[in-house]
Amino acid sequence: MLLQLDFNSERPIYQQIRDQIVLGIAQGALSPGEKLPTVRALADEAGVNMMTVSKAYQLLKQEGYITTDRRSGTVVSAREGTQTVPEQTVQRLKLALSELRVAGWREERVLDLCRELYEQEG
Amino acid sequence: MVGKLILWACGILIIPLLLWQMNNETKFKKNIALGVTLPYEGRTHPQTVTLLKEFRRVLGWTCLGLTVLAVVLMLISMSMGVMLTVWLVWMDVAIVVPVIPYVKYHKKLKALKKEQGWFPQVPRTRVVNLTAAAQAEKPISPVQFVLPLVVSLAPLVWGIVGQDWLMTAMFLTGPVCVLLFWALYRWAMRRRAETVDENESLTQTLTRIRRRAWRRCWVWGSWFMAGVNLAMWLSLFQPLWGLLVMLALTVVFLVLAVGLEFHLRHQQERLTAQSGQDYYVDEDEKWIWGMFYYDPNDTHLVVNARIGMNTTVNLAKKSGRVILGATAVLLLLMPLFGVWVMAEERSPITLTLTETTLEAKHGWDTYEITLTDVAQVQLLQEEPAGLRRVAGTAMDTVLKGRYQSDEYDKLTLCMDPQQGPWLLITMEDGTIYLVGDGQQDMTSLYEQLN
Repeated sequence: MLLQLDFNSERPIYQQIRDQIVLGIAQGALSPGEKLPTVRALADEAGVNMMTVSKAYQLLKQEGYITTDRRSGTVVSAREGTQTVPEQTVQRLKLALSELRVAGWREERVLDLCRELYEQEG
Repeated sequence: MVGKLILWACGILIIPLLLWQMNNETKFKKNIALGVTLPYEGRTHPQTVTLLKEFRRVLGWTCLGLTVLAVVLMLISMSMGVMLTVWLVWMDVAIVVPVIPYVKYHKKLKALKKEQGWFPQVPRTRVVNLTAAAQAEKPISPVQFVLPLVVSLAPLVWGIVGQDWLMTAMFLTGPVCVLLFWALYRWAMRRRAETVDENESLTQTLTRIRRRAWRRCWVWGSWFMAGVNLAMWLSLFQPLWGLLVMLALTVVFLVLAVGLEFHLRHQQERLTAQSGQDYYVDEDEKWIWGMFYYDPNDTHLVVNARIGMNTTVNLAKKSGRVILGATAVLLLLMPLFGVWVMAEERSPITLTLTETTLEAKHGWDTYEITLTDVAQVQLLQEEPAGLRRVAGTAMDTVLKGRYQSDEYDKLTLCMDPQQGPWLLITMEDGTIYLVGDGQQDMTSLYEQLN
C-alpha cells in the first residue's frame, strides 16, 4: 500500500498518515491482522521524524484501528461490527453535515452523496 | 615516458566511462531519462526522441574533443610537475564539461514535459511504501567482512612483530578500510524502497536488486582493500610483482564495480519498461538539474540516486551542502597537487655541515644527522642495488624518505639520483642515511666527516 504525504498541505503529516491508513483499512488494502511497519521503519521510509509516525500510531491505537503487541508488533485490528464509533469521527461528521447544510444541501442530496461515497469505499 | 603514458591512459579512460554512463541516462529507467520523469506516452513522443538523440550527438562530440585535447597534451614535452598539473586540470575539465550538455538537455526535456502537461494526477507528494517499510531486511552475516579483515591483518601483524612502525601505519589502511566499508554497508543498507508505481512486486524486486548491488559493492571493496594490503606487503620484497598485483586488483575491482552498476541499470530499465502507463511516482521537483537532491522535508542526509546504485546527499541539509561543497573544492583544487610536485622537483637539495650535525634539506623536509651518533661514513659512486621506495618522494631530481635496498635493507634518503657520489652514513643505532646534493664536493665532505 502506498501513502501520499503532502508537505505543502495544512493538514499535519501525522494526520495524513492516520487518514490514509484508515482509508487503506476501509478499502481493503490493509486487512485485519496485517502487520504495519515499526515506527522507526516507517519514519525511515517516509523521511520524517519518528515522533510524527509515533503520533499517528498513537491516534490509530486510541481509535482502535491498530493494536500493538510486544511479539507481533503493530497490526491492523479486527473491527467487524464490534467497535463503537469514535467521538472524533462523530464530530467530523457533524462538521461536514453542517457545512453541507450551510451550502444549502437538502437531506436526500446529502444521503445520496453518502451512499455514493460509501459504495466507492466499499 | 612509460609513466606519462600510463598516467594519460588512466585519464583518458574516464571519457568512455562518462560517455557510457551519460548515454545510458537517455534510456528510460523507472520512467526517468536525463533526470526527468515522463509518463509512458511521453517516452516515445517524437520531440522526446529527438531531444535524447541530439543530446547523445552533442555528448559524443564533447567527449571526442576532450580525447583529442588529451592526446595533444600528452605529446607535448614537459617536466613531471608541469605534466601532472596539466593532467589534473584536464581531469577537472573532463569531469565538468560533459555535465554542461546534460544540464542543457535536462532543462529542454523538462520544458517539453511542462508544455505537454506530463504530470501525475497527485503532484507535490512524497510516496511512501507502507508494505516495503513493513518488510524487515536482515543484514548479511558479518563473516563476509570478517574474512577480508583477517586477510588484511596479516601484513599489519608482520609490521607489529618486526616493530616497523611506519610499515604498521601503512598496513593499518587495509583493516581500517574494511571496517569502514562494513559500517557504511550497515548504515546505508536500509534506505527508501524503490517505488516507481503501484506495482508492489516491482517495488520489491527493484529494492532487492539495488540492495544486493550495494551489498556486493562493499564486500568486493573489502576484498579489494585486503588485496591491496597484501600487494603492498609483496612490493617490499618484489616491487615489480607488488605493482603488477596492485594494478591487476584495481582493474578487476573497477571492471566489477562498473559492471555491477551497468548491470543494475539494465535491470532497472528492463523491469520498468512498461511502467508509467497509469499511476507513477514523479519526484522531479526535489532534484535540481536532475542530479542534486533538495528536499527540506526529508530528514535523510544520504539518499539513493534515482538511477543505478549510487548515493547522494540532501542539499537542504547544512551537512549535505558542506559535503558536496568540500567535494567540489577538493576536485577543483586537485591541480594544486601538481603545483606542489613542481615546487618539489625544482627545489634543490642542500647539505649543511656544522660542528655537531649534518643537515640534509629538501623543500619542507629536513634530515638532521647528529655527528656524535655516526658510526661509519662511506662514499658511494653508484646507487645501492635494488633501491625501491617504501614511503616518500621519487622523482628524476630527488629521492627522499624511506627506501629499501637489497644491499643495505632499510635506508633514509635525501639525494639527487642524477648526480653522485653520495654519502652513506651508518648511525650507532643501525639507521642508514644516503645523502647527496650534487652541487657540493662530496669527496671533501666525506673527508671532513671522517
